[in-house]
Amino acid sequence: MSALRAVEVEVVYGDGTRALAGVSLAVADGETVVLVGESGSGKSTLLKCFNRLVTPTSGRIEIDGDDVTGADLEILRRSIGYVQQDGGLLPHWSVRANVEFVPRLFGCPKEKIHARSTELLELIGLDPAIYGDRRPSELSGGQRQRVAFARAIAAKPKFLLLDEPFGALDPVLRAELQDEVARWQDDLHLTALLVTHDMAEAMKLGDRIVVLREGVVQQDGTPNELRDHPANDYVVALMRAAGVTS
Amino acid sequence: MLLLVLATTADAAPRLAIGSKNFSESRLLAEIFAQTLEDAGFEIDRNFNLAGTAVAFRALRAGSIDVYPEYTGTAWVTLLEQPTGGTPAEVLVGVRRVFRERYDLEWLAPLGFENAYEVAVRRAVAEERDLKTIGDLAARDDGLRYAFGFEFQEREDGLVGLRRAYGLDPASIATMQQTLKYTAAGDDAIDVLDVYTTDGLILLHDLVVLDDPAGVFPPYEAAPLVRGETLREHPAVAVALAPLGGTLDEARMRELNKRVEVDGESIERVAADFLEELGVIDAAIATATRASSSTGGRSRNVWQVLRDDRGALLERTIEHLQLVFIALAMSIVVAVPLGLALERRADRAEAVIRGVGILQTIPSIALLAFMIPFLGIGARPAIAALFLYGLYPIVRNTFTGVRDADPSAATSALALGMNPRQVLLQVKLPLAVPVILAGVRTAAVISVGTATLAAFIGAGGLGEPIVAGLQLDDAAIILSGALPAAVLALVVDGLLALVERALRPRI
Repeated sequence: MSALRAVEVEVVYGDGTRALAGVSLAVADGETVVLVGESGSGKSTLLKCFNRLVTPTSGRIEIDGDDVTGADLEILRRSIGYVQQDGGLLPHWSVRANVEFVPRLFGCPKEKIHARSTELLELIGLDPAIYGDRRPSELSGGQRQRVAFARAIAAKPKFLLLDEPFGALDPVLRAELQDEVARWQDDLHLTALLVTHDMAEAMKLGDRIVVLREGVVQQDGTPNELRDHPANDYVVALMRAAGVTS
Repeated sequence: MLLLVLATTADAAPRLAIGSKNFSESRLLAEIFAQTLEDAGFEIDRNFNLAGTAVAFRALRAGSIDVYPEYTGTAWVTLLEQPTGGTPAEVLVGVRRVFRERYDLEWLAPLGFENAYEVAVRRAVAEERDLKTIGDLAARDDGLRYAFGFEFQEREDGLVGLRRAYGLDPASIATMQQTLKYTAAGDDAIDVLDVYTTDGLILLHDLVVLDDPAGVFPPYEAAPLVRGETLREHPAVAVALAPLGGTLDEARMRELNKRVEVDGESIERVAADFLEELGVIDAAIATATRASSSTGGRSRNVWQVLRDDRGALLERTIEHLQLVFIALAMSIVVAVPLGLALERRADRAEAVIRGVGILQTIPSIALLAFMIPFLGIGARPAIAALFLYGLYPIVRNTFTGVRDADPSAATSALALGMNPRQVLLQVKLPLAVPVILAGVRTAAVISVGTATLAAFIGAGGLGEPIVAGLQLDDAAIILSGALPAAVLALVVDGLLALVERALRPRI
């Protein structure tokens, strides 16, 4: 049984734009699947179907075998970690309060929440005594993105939805954070769906890669399969642009 | 303690409210009634400066005032919409009968002078163009500059009738307040204006009153108009006011008006002098009244007025602040939740907000007049009007504030499991606080300005000296209300800036 599964998902927006044209996809337990495509390919839309920020026009989304449309919306969302490109931290809350966001919604006991946020701040390399009371605006871009990760995993979710989480960072910082996130995912045994337009990032982080173009899957395979047997010229072009193949 | 309260209530003199319209003759007559009734043992609330016939009449019918000076001709033509014409006696009999039957209002004995609208021109113009009647004016008014009061332009016994009877059709008319018209004519800024027969200012500004051969202007006898209910409850009112009947002829009225309008004496003093001379009130009381009233006189500059009247001005300022703050608090309580509710219904938000915005376009005086039948006069309708005017900036800013509050933070809060209500109240609302408070500040500053108009319906505030000063054409008195109002606007804005700083979320 797949942990995350999309079956023939079609999304047509109110203005008639067809973002996804019947896309199917499965992510196994503990696996990291990367959705790669240019802007407008529908990769972000597909990601948002899993926490129901977007509702498919037709098709089905399953988590652990259950159709998400039957789930309690808030409970579903609290059990899925979510990180977006600009972090989306609450600017009027302290760093610590941001990290404690989901456990608080679950109504966990205060001491437990505090211990958890301390642990997470240490995990992402921010000294709780120094950074705990700061506002997000007082952090660097990289630090903010780390806090967003800490917030996403604070309630120990099984699943992570990552929407271009490294997109706004400079290359050195990006590589560093990619390594760290990969390590956290392994340590915590997270099942993740990652969206990016950067094929190099996909090759580095993905157990499998799904290439999307204009709402249609171009190829679905491991990094090696994509490198050795690209399905079509578009996949070749993407690989070449990222410097993955010559 | 309770017994004491009951005892004082039982012993207290019966209270009456006296109104007047917003020109000096009406205020002077109302003050004469007030002092006469005070002498007869009544406790008097003065609601002077009501904005015109409609407001005063509605206030009387609603029971907000018990008596005010009215003119029979005005009642006949404007309130009863009867044709012009008829002798003063016929008009008096007519209005008495209809008012008693229809409204349970009583006309007491007329005071003895006729006051009517008339049309006047500057003497130089009259001589140059040989103007003797309104018909002459209609025939030879090319290039003349007209200034009429607003009410005059709308009335059958005003411009409407003149148009029909003489074909008078001014190319353009400046709408001006009564005393300002005289000043403008004196300064050669206008040529033709409407005047009252008994205005003292006709003499001062060298104007020629034109004849009205067609009889468009009906005879206007001034008399106390009283609620029937008041007379049944306090028959002494009729007894006390009766000696005033027939005591004021045109010349005397013009002289009293001149003392107020030209010489700048206070109405309290002029009324006291008149009543003492008439023997209606005691010399000692008249002296006391004169002593307590402000010294008057044209010579005072604005700083002297501010100093002499500081006690009264402080009281006005407090009244003003009360009106503004009560209304503002009500606006916030209604508009902020409304703006938040609209965030969930963005498709309808614009329509609703525009609807609230339309309230803004209703002229204040009209809005105040509409509310008199429901809320009477005084502070209540003024607060209601200020409340309505305060809604728009607050609801507009609340809605746009929450709609535009950090969309990325709002999306992530939703994606991580807050429900829409939590997102609104815990994320969007705190982030929108500076924008919402900017709306509150706008509403507050507008409200401080608009509240000056509350004086027109007897709500007090800093509008009182402004209205009084306009009637007296006395810039110092106008400024004694306008300056504190301006300072108040700045202070209120500054205080709200501090509130904003305290409530603004740390980001």
